[in-house]
Amino acid sequence: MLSRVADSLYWIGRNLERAEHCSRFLKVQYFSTLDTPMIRNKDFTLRSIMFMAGTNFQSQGGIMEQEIWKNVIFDINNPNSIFSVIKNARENARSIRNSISTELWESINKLYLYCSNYEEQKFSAGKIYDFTEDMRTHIAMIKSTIQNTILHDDCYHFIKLGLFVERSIQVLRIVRGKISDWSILSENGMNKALISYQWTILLKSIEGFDIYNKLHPGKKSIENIFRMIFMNDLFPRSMAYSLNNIRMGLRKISVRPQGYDAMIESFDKKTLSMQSFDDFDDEDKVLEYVHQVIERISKIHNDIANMYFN
Amino acid sequence: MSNILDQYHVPDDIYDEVVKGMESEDSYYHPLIKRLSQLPLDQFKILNESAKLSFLNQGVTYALYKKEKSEEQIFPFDLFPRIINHEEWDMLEKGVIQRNTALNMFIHDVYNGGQVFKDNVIPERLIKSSSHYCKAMEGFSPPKNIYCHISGTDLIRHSDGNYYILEDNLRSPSGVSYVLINRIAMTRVIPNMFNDTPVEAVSDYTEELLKCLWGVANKPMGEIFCALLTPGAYNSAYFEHTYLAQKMGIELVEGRDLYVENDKVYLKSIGEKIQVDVLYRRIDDGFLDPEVFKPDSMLGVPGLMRAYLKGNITIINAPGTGISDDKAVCAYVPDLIKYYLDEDPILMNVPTYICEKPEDLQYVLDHMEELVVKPVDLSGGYGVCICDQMSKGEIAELKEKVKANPREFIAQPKMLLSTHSTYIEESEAFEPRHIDLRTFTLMGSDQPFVLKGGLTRTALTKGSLIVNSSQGGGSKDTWVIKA
Repeated sequence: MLSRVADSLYWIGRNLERAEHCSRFLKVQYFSTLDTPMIRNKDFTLRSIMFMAGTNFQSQGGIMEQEIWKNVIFDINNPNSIFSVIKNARENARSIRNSISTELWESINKLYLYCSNYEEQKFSAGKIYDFTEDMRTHIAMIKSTIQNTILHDDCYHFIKLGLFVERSIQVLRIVRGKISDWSILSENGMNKALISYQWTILLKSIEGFDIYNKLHPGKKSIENIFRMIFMNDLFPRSMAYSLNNIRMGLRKISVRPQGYDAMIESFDKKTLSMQSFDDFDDEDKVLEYVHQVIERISKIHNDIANMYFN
Repeated sequence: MSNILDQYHVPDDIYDEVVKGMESEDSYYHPLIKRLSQLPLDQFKILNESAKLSFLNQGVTYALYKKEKSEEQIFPFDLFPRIINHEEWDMLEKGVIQRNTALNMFIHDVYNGGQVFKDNVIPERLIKSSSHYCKAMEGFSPPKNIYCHISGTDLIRHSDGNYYILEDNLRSPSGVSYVLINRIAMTRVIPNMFNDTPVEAVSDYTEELLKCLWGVANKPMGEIFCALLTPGAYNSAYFEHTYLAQKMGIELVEGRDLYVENDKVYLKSIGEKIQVDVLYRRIDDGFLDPEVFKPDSMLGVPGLMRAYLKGNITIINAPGTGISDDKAVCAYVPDLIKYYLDEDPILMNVPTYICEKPEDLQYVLDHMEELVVKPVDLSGGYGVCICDQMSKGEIAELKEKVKANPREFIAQPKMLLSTHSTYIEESEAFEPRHIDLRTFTLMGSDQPFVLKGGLTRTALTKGSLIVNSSQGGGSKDTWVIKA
């Protein structure tokens, strides 16, 4: 396989996963504030959405909702906007379209066309639900064609690697964002209900709310939430699940360049040590832990890039 | 019952394929018109839209240059197919094989001794002054002496009912993927029409193309590694590059994916070293190898020509074939056919005045108002001047340009391309539009192969004679009737 092709496959996975998390977060965050146990604080919500989207958008005199949508969803000049990310995924696919199935290419291209034909002026809060649902359907379709229409050889594993690297990063970003929201609210002396509601939003943002309730009916504890997000390897959005899949992908790629064995060894050792973290009550320690894991993932990304794409 | 041709009017001096075709009782236009007439207009509009959507979703688009930002567009496609009967096709097929065989021999001769110059068939200066003349090819013979493995021959039908050669495309002719995709769209959207008509298949093209690549490799079958070299995803024909590579199952590469070591060409891959044996390149000579051609080319591969001239890789088409794309050379092709094959040309040329010849230049200057003036080495319809549509001032300006650089221009009488009924979205009706035909000939395996069909290009503007996609033309499926 060409190095360039491997690179593009990996980024198809990353961009798709990124678009999925961003649009889901947008939906959950926005709707969660419409039915809350406290007075609505829209600016807070919008700030949170911006934080997740990785934009440093500054607005004079209060945050304008329409500007946020533009920035987070539509703006092609913002590399983190949902449309930019989808455009990139499509460019990745287009540049290697003969290495992927026709079905996969067409499903990605359809999502791109959906976005490029979307009428930004007509967008408003009333459209958020439909928009994010459409995104979800398109991306589910694409993931299904990845699963079912290409050989599960190196090509498939590079896409999956990108997908799980991105998933672990996005989940960590969401967790980090929510810890930050939580601290701001605590410092401002907000009521307990609002603070604890942030954990509900966190779970919903990673589609883990129902799952958590099933695992721990009626018992919301920060420790249990973090344990599920970090260590439950049966939960598809957990760190453990993503890391297992990254490891499996690396092992399944048929080509093992120099440095491969050392990388796998260090990967196993560090991942194992991450599982022994226990200080979930201490917010600062959790944050530090999250930072460590993010660094760990960036290191994996760099290793993959150095070994295969350069 | 109403007929879609009820309101169809063709000017008297124009040869219309449908009207003329239907003069024959057994023409397959009869059942086709019947089918199309049975479709209510609303239904037809839906089919038309669904064909367009299928092109968009497949990403069958091309980028238009010269716009402020390059945009992807679908190549406009018409659901009314053009029909070519068997006898006529037989003649066309023989004609393009004859022509391309002679051109191939000519190119070999030019780069190996130039007997054709010594025998005064064509002036040596005309060839050696061509910007496509490739000095590096002198004294080199590619495998099987084949230079133009893939040729696109553009034909038109004039109002006298005869086919004429408009031009040869021996560098990297494009458009074949549209032939294949148009056919798929037709079978999806109006499957019933294929029940009435014995249409020759086009789907075997990619298989034949692969055989052609294999046929000129320097390795035994089974060990040959082929790749298609594209300038990248922003090239106007990128869809075609991916499509052909995918259908043949060969690697699609950009220049940066290849490197040369010990005069052999390799892939930059994640694993083992893979040597490339045959390179179907879709970039121009000038960009192939910065060591030999344009030193600032980012699209090519340094050292590629060294590997080629050592026989370690076959490049398709060979560098330097552009000499016979030159429109001034086109005029000599009938002489070349006679010279190399000792045959009479089956297909006629459009009469061509070579401005470099003093007597032709004088004629062109005296009669410019009736002529079409073309630059000798631009393709895609760029720079074509249809003089009876120009102002006096523009003509005077053109005359000065031609006088200053006669080698750069040829002129031809204005040929009235035949028309074909075409669905026009604005008027929601079928109207006559001018068409041409690009055929695709492959040489490389044992027998030359001509794709039975070809790309029928349509001018979409009423009365326009320019059919090139870069100038807003469209295309339609071409049905060759089986024997």
